[in-house]
Amino acid sequence: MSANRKKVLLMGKSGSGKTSMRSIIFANYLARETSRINPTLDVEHSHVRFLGNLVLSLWDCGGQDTFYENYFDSQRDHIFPNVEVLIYVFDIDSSELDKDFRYYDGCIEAIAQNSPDAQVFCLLHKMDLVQPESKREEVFNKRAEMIKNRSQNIPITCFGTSIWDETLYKAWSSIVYSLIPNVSVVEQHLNEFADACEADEVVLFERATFLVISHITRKEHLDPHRFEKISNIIKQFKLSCTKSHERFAGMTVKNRSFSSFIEQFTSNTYVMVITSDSSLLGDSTALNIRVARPHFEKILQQTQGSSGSDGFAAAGGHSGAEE
Amino acid sequence: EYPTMAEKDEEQPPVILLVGPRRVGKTSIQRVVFHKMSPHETLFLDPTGANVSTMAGTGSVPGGVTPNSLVQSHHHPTAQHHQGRSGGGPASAASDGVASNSMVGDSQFAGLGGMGSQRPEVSLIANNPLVKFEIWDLPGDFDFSAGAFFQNKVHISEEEIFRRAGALIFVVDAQDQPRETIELLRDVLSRDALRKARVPVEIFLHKMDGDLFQSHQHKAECQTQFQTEVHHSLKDCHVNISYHQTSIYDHTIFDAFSRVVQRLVPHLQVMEKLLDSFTLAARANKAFLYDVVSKLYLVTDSSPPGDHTYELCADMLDVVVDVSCIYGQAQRGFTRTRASTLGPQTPEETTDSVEAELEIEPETYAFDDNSEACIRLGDGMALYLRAVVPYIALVALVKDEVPTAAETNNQSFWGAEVSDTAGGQNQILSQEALEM
Ligand SMILES: Nc1nc2c(ncn2[C@@H]2O[C@H](COP(=O)(O)OP(=O)(O)OP(=O)(O)O)[C@@H](O)[C@H]2O)c(=O)[nH]1
Ligand SMILES: Nc1nc2c(ncn2[C@@H]2O[C@H](COP(=O)(O)OP(=O)(O)O)[C@@H](O)[C@H]2O)c(=O)[nH]1
Ligand SMILES: [Mg+2]
Repeated sequence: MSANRKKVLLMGKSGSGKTSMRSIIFANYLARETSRINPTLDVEHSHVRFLGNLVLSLWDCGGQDTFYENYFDSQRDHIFPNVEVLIYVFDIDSSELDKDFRYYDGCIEAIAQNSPDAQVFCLLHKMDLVQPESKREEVFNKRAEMIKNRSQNIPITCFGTSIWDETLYKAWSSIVYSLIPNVSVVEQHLNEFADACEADEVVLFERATFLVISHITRKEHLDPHRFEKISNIIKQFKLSCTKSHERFAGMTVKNRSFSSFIEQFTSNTYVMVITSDSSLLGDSTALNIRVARPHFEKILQQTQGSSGSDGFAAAGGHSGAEE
Repeated sequence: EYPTMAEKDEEQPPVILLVGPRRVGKTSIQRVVFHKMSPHETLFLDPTGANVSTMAGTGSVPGGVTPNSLVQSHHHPTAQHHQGRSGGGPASAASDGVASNSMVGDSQFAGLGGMGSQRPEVSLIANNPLVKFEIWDLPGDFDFSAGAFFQNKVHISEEEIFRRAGALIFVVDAQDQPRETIELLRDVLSRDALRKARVPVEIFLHKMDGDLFQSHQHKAECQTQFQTEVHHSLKDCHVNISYHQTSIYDHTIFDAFSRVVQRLVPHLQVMEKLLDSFTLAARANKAFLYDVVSKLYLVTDSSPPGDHTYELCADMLDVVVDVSCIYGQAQRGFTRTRASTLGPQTPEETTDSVEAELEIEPETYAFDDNSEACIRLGDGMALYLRAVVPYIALVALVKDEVPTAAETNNQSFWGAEVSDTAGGQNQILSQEALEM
């Protein structure tokens, strides 16, 4: 498998929401449209180009019992080797916790044998069904604890998710972040860019999914969920543009206390720049973005290149924003 | 033709009645449009008029205050923190920013016994100087002739209900029309008190979503069929009826509710002319004045809208409010800015006093007099937004270039129009409109 192709397994009981979430993040579905999705038969493969050169090879494994028997048995050597990421989806509202855990144990065991370096993410999904909302944290913590206890010392990361809010973006941003090689290089350059713009915050989004790739925060902000909220907000708006046969090309929003710019940045990213000086006409930010564009285009290409980290030396030294 | 908010008694804001059989979606509509509930959360709603303690238990908002007993307004953000912009429609905007401003009662009804179904759930909506009314969500088996009961056993007669009604919305389940629907409709429309008060009737053909209504044709057929039925069974009924196709899962419910509320907006024609001159001056395709809080548009210019113009403009407002709520909270609202050293020293006395009368808490809104946004679309089109009066935004679809400051930054102009609506003098304003 090529270095830029990453195998991602999506597993979990039937009806837990695997196909729904993948359709929302990668195929422009609206949450309410997922009620029309049929159960997945066997394994459905999809290849998603991400950030230009990275290809996520998503294996959406239908969760009905008969398929599981095959996954653990005849298809075992086909499914579980070379996995970069295992995403296991639990329906938080499921009444068959035992069965869920039995399958989970099987997956963990098979992964430990065949892809010991794989990263494991557990999504406790359909959190919206936990009502009232005030109970969610407790329910999540309890379930996450149970899962951790039976993961055979494999480090796992848990997220509470729902297709109805931005939590889905939080989880998937973290997942793809873990797959991007040399993301720290991009971060370094983004930092210089943020300084040049005198920005409070700079956030880099992947173009098609609007998942967050990287962010620089120069001024403390109280809302830890703001990035996934922005992802969700803009993604929704892009979809509504598409429906109206329009194209989202960029935006500015301001009031007395802030100005924000969201612009296409490189061919595969958007950038958001937040400044707290609304008297700034914005021209300088727009200019900075324009100047930095070719520079970041190069950096992103080099860091995503199959040769890995040696792109940095070539790209280092000059920051687009300063020129 | 119909009484507007200004013409009615100041102390008695007009009422919008929500009527229809049980489970057609009346409460859902009210929650989605005015309380920022996400459409899918309505699945957890209990029937209106149900036992109060169970309602409190499920975290929904038990309704019921004496109408117009504006004792104190509780700020009650029904919107949940992480619930937010669902994949649904514009309904689910601004989770933590825009909250509702309803009057929320609690369990004052213990003594009412079996009166539950005669007890409307009342919300007061007072978002800006142009918008002030109450919504009475009537339980499915509400009996008009018995009148309505409120807290402290206040009783309001049928005549009084219709006298205060600015509009009656009759909700019909488009996916499943039980036989009672038409009977109930006939019962309501044939009431003498309703005719005498000349209450306009708006029929919402609701739940126009899902697999049954994939195409416009299906929707149109459903409406034709229902209209025919109404025509047959209500021949003798001389009431002004308008039809709307709605669903809480998309923008249609906002569009329909906007049209209902517009009937109550004072000086609508004058404002429409103002927008006409604006679109001309700014070369805009279409312009709206929005109530920022409810996302209903109060006025639009007279040009025909494109297929998706309304939707795009409403979605833009969503984006602007949501983004501002995240990043624009440092100095909040119109009043807070006064203490700050930032920004120009514009006279703020008027906005201040206006705000004091509104039932909203400025802290939750990151919408101030400098709020402005532009979203660039392909083909040189752009969406442009600007605050014109507290919590009222001008949103326009423009081509080639965004409006200049002179064209939109005319706050005194918009402000004068709105503050004048109470007094009802508008000669000066129309003159200014011509100068634009
Ligand atoms: N309430 C709620 N429902 C959800 C959520 N995510 C998905 N669903 C619903 O769950 C149902 C099943 O979703 P699918 O995506 O088909 O489930 P799956 O895991 O792919 O199922 P298999 O393909 O059979 O393994 C659909 O009706 C979705 O609309 C969520 O976050 N909350
Ligand atoms: N599909 C669909 N369901 C809706 C819509 N509006 C409301 N509902 C559902 O209809 C049910 C009854 O709603 P409710 O507001 O309690 O009805 P009420 O008794 O008239 O107040 C709830 O489960 C809602 O989720 C809609 O536009 N489309
Ligand atoms: Mg599936």
